[in-house]
Amino acid sequence: MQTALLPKHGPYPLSNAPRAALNRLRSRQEESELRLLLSFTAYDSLDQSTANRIYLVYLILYLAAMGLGALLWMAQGGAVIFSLFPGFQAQVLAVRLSAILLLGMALFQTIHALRLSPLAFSDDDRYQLCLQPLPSVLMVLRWFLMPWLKALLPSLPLFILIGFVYAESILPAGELSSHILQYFSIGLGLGLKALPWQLLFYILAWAAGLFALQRRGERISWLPGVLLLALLLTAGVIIAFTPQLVLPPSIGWFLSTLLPGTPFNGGAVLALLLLIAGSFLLLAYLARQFIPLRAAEESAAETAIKELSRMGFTSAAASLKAHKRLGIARASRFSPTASGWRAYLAKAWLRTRRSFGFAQVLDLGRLGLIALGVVLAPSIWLRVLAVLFWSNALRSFALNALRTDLSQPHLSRLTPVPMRAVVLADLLIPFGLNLLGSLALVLPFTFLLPGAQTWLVLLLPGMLASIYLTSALVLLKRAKTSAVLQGTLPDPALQTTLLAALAASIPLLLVEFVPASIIPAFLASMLVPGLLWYQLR
Amino acid sequence: MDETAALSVKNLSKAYGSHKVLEDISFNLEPGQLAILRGPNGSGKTTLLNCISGLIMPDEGSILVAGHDLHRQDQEVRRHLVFIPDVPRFYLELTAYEHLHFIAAANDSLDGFPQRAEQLMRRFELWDARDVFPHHYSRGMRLKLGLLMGFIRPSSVLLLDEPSSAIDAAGVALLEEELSQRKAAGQAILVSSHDLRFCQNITDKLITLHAGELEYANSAAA
Repeated sequence: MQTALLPKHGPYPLSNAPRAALNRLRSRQEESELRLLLSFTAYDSLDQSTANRIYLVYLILYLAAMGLGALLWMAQGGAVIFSLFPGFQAQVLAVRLSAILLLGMALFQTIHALRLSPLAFSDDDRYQLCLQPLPSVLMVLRWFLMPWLKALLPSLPLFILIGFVYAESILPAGELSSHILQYFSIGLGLGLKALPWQLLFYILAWAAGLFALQRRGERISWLPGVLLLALLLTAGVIIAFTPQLVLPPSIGWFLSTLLPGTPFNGGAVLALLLLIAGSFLLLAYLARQFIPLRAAEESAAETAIKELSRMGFTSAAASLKAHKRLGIARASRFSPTASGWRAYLAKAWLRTRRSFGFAQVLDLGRLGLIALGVVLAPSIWLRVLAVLFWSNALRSFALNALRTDLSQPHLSRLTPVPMRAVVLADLLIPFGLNLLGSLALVLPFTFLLPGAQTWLVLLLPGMLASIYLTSALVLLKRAKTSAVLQGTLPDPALQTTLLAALAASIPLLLVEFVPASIIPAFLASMLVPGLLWYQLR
Repeated sequence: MDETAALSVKNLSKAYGSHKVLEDISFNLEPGQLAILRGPNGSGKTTLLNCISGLIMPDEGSILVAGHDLHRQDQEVRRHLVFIPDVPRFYLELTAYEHLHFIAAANDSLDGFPQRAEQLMRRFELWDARDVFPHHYSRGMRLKLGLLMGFIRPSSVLLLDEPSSAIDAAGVALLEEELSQRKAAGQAILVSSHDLRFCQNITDKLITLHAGELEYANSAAA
């Protein structure tokens, strides 16, 4: 055996090589995340040209000016809200609001860290990184930076805004330009004062998350996290509801470090820094027991979903989400009596039951609001425009089940059910839900609002059916099995939207321009789908 | 064309652009016959099966399944023909058992379904995982479930693409036994396989493709 050719272990853990490798890999990952964020502003970090550097300077100045402008504008509104609480000083309101915001974010971060490993690894990481004998403490501390910055980025402007609101409330309204430095120092100062607290709570959330990860399955795994949550909640409730004079000293000290418009308290800053250092030591201590594979097992799916969504692969992300939601197994729920085309209906019902959630309720609400727009629009052309929006917004909700069946030609060819029957079975349940959701929103408004044209409600079911059928039949016509076998199911968005909008607008136009009654107009909504149906025979 | 044959393929040609995948393929399969389709990678075996199953439209030629023209009597053909691809696909929201139930129900074949499903699933060792979603199955289990979806419904012609590719030895033996019973019951079976030993003892016909052309189609004994 040629042992000379076999790789040998270095003097690990004394060697710097694993640390350097870990640092290099994480830096690359952070760089690529940053590059992706910057790509949203059309900035290419790999382009070293002068023009690109000038663009970066412009971008920073532009975003800073826009952000600041938006904050100043919102601060004016905030000051008006502050003035609605005459019993409170602006400073008390600002400090309590900042504290509640901090505690709320900490609460959210702790729950998140308790549910899922705070360190997120991808599937690639699982096989290439987590199997290596790398120093776990360094790994945890090195992985901490980017998520913390990502959590800090959206929260910092909120604290600056509270600072600005406070400045707006105490500085004389007409002389803002002469106090501009004070204005900014109050706002930015509050941002700086909140920062160490945000860091401290983030470290504690990670520590609780790491502990929970190591003891997953044991009852004790939740204990530190639950204690932290209880502490945060209690502090939040005390701060929100207790008068200033009876505040416990610890809470009072916490609030005093967040006072806007006052100089930094050296002692408090030192104590805070010591607390942060202590919590870092706790995190490092817990990190000694950290098993990367366990974290990867929990977070790989979540990371993949995020990656796919970010890259725009929404259907792949939706599939992964569905895998996660459905779990591994379910007791059989298929209706034993449904046969023939009704088997497709039973399948669609089961699919709806297993995929219906908050997102679908929101979807139905959104679609109902657009339907309300169709009914309440003051002129025929605005109504037609609303129908155009409606048919575009409906497409995804209406065609989801049909798209699944069309993208599985091997499965649909295992049944002798004609494709047009499959279309009807796949549309019926989303149509029913959509109609009920829309009527639930439209009916009360139509009958309560004076001047609303109630007869339009009678046309809604026909118009909705027309949009559903037209969209489905256009998709069916365009879905060539050979293309589907190559993994491409077309999405004729423009054609579907325009044709469906035309089909659904016919009854509206008929009622408006021809002295026709509701019944012929209702029947006319089936004109375009009828023609398509005939064509597909 | 032989209208009494379970499957009759006549002068079938298919090209992608200028690349000819199948050229002038003709053969018949009688009821109760089992044919093995062989050929090197890229010889057109899967394309041929896709054409026969109606998933791909051939450029020329005709296909009769139990006397029904594939392109004129599609629904009738679907009643008679089952095609199981080498990588079966599944619905996301249905468990393994629900897949069998759905296929049986859609084919109006629910008589004795629970007993048949249990018997098949037990034989192919999927019964204990019947409530599991197929995307959590191993590759071999997925292939077995795909096969069971074909077996749970009535058919006259069975097309199988590489059915033994991911199944363990015991599973392959079971599959051969199942195919033998189906052949005895009068089903015509066309199997594409690289495994020279697969169904060795029950094969009636060898069909060999080479670069899209039929090299020979004769009885296995010859």
